[in-house]
Amino acid sequence: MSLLSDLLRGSNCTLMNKMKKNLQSNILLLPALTAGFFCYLFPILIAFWKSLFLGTGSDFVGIQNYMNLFENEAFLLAVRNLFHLWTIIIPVNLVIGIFIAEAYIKLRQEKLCLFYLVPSILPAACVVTVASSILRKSPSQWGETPFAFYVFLVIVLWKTLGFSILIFMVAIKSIESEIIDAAMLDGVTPLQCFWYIKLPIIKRSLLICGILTIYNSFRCFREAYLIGGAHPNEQLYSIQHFLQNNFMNMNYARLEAASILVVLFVGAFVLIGMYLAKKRNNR
Amino acid sequence: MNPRKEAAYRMLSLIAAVIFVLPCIVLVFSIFNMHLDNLWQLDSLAEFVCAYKNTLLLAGAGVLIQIVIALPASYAIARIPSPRAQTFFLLTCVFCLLLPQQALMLPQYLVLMNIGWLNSLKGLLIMTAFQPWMILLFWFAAKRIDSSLFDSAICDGASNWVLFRKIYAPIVRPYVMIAVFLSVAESWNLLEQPMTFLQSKEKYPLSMVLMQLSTDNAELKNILCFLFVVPLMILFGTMVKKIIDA
Repeated sequence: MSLLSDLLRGSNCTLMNKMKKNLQSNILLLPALTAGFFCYLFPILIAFWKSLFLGTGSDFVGIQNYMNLFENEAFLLAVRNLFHLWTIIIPVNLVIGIFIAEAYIKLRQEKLCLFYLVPSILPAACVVTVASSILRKSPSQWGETPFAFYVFLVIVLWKTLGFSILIFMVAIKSIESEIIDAAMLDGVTPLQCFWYIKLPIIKRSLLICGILTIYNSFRCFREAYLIGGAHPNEQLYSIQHFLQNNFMNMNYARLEAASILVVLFVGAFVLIGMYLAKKRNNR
Repeated sequence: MNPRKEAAYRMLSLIAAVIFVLPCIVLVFSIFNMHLDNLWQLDSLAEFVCAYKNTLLLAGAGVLIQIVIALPASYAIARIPSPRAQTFFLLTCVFCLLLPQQALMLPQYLVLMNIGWLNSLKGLLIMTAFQPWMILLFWFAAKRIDSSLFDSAICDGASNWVLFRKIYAPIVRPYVMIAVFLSVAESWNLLEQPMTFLQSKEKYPLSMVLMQLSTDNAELKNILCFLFVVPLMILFGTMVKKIIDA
């Protein structure tokens, strides 16, 4: 009997400790959960609710706003431009990033890579001022020219390359030297060593850099906005322009429907990424 | 590699790095052509000073709030025993990170309007309080801590709070330093949210004022941009020096 009571007391004690620990963890998480709810979840719910109504009124239209969006030329143009930007900027960023990181490691000049971070921290207003000074034209003038998209591409690359180089450098440096030495002893060329040994090992860093490039290319809207203003030429028109202009023109229903589509797209992107990662881990 | 060839390649790598940051030199050159009279006679000088003050306030208070939120949260996420729950929180952070700001502009505007914090710096601060990248950064730092360190402290009877204060916080300090810098850089670069949430000019941060500056004098604009970016560069230099020393 006394043994049973001791056991019960013991399990109660463990349970109490566990509950106490859970409570402490929850308290630590509470500020972030509150802020996350307030800044993200609650606004997303409001956006979804409002996207089901006509204009700013209370006439329920269901998914009509979403259907209208798929017929909207400006929205389709913005989506096309977004994919156009990604298909160029992500591979270029990754290839140049790896090449520079590898070259600087080979030359034992790693500290120089910090130079490449400077443009990443430069505020958008300064970037555009610098670009205007170099091109000797005001942003509004060259925002209209056909090569504005390529100028924008160079700016995005200039701003995002620093982080990629840093991540690749850390990833390549963390490869154990024994692996490389063993391969070299077996007579592989530096190119084979890079392609068959280093690249598979740093695969995860490629993913991180890809996500970071997408994140940064979204943020580079600031530069696009400062270059071309609210209505830039067709090639510079982005999802953010579409959302910003609808906000300014008070097309709230269309804005909310577009916002929810962007949320769904990003959510699907994250879930597919997780699924692929899980599948790779299980293999 | 042949030493002479290696020296040449090293020189080339240095030149490439310098060329990469060369465009920023345009801003530095502007101070050599600076005529102080031009600056003092600028109509918007008072506006510039006020915006500078707002940016400093936003950066200082923003860093504090963001770290107070992200630091404990990442610790709690990293210590969650269930991998599923941990993945859920991390994916939520990645999701929030990838969401473009404009997608939430109107609902955030409505939230601030309803609580009466529209057109105020505190409203802007509260909407930037949750920074998913900061939680991911601290989580990454927490995951690098050897779990045996926590286990031995738990065996000695340490509570969660003691683990957080005595083990986690001191070890992640270098990451906090990086987060402080990146957060300040982010506050320096705020554009979409002030454009949406602030209406009166006396509350604008510098990024907004520089965007709307009505001067045709490119040199003057360069000087203002240079003055704007100086604190950021000093902070960057300090951080780099500390990291290299460490």
